[in-house]
Amino acid sequence: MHPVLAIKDLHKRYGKVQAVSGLSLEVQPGTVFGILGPNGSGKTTTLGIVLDVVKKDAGTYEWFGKSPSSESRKKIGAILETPVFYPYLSAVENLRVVARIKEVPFTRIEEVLLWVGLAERKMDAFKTFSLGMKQRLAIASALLSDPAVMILDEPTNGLDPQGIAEIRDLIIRIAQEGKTIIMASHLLDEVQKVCTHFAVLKKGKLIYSGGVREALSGTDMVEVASADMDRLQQIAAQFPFVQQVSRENGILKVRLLPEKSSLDLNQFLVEQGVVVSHLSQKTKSLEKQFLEILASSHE
Amino acid sequence: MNKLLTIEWLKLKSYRPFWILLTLYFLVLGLVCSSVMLYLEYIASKGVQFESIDPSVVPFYDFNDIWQNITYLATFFKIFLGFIVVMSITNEFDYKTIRQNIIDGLTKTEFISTKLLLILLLTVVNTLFLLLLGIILGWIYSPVQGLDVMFDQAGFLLAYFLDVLTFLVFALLVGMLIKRTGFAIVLLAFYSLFIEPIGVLILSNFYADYTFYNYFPIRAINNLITIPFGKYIFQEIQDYVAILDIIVVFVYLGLFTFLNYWILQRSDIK
Repeated sequence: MHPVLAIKDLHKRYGKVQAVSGLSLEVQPGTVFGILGPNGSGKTTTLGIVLDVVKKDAGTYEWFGKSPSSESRKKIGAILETPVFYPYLSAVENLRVVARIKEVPFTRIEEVLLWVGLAERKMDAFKTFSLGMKQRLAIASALLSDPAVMILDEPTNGLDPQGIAEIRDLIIRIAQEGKTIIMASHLLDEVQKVCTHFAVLKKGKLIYSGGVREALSGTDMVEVASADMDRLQQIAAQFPFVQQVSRENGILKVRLLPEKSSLDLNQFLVEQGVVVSHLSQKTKSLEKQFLEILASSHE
Repeated sequence: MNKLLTIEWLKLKSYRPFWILLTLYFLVLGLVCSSVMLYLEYIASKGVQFESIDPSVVPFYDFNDIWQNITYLATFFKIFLGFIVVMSITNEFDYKTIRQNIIDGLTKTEFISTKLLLILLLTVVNTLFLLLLGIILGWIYSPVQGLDVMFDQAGFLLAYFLDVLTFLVFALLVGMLIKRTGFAIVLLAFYSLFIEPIGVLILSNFYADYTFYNYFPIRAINNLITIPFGKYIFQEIQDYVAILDIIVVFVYLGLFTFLNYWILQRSDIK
């Protein structure tokens, strides 16, 4: 099976700024692929290139194993940056324009509006919509052609917590229908909650690409404290499944091998006659991973 | 083509400024073109004379003079259609909908084609409007009637069609380049009403032996239909459309069309 999107050695320069530099990336069908990176790392530029609105300097990209065309774009539902519609047209009228472009029957409009919960406001002008509603209309528009792949660029940017929850819920529902989703974000928490795979960009370069679960598993840290910290450290270091032990601010940080948890450590300590006053297991967040990845790419 | 025209129609159907401007345009064009005789009679009653000729006897609407007269008069109003065209393209940049249209699956060529089709449709409707106006006014005022004289000089309508079409494609180009509605409208008006005409006036004073300034775009377009009113005071006028002028305007039409496609093709759309 062809990857949904395959990017090879992509370059783009704006004046003095190298926005994308030798980027190669593959997105497999059925994944929810997060593109992470600080602001200005080339996320939107990359998406702009693969959507044919930004000219590449060098490199290639393919959609569904074919060279890009307007036909492949019709099978992609994409939103770049903010939702874009004609402000004076109603939700339905706006979607009619998109439906004509994508050559989709108008009957599909009711379905997608219902799906994103905008059926009641469908006759209102786009300019009267709240940001959350605009974002939902954009998702409805992207769903019009029942695309195999959706591209979302910072979909929850600027939304209030309720709006964020709504959009996140929509994205998860879309992913459950088996669609591939490519999502640029700088919100790590969001990517962690929604994505199956992620890539990290920095200054237009790919510095990491892999599965979210893999990135988060096997690196659990256990924090322990006891009345006698020296003895605790000594004993803990003897635990056979320990990777690393360090002491910070009166707390011992123990990194265990992937298959072991705080339970195993505690059992061992009790067997050795050490009673702990504090024990907690820290699940590694994508945020920490991300910062580590960024820090380890010296540039 | 049908698809592209529908897309443009869906965008404009509920856009009120478009309909207001268009209605105003046809209203003013119709009023001015049909009230020339009333105006001539009015100034005659005030005692004005053209080289000792009574203005009220000027056969403005007579077949077959009428076609050159009203098409010449009508070209002065094409700037308003130009504003409409500018608005329709700069709005797309303003709202960023041009980018979304292309992301959604339109090619850049198709996008420009929707605008060119809008221009073509406006020009066709505009020319038919003038044809109808000419038939009605001639029927009311002209002492000579009959199909043979009615359409004798109606070729001026085709020149008018080419004139407006080329000007509107030029307006589209200005919109494509400037991208901001206000700036583009001001620049279009300034260039075509002041900068080029005044420039040509100055140049023709200094270089009376040459004619290169006749090939400036606005000048070339306006040269298609020359001012016909001199004949009423027994001056020589050009009562035909010169082949060379047609060729020059066609070259500009081709150039402007090409530039519109070319600019969009090679630029990043933000």
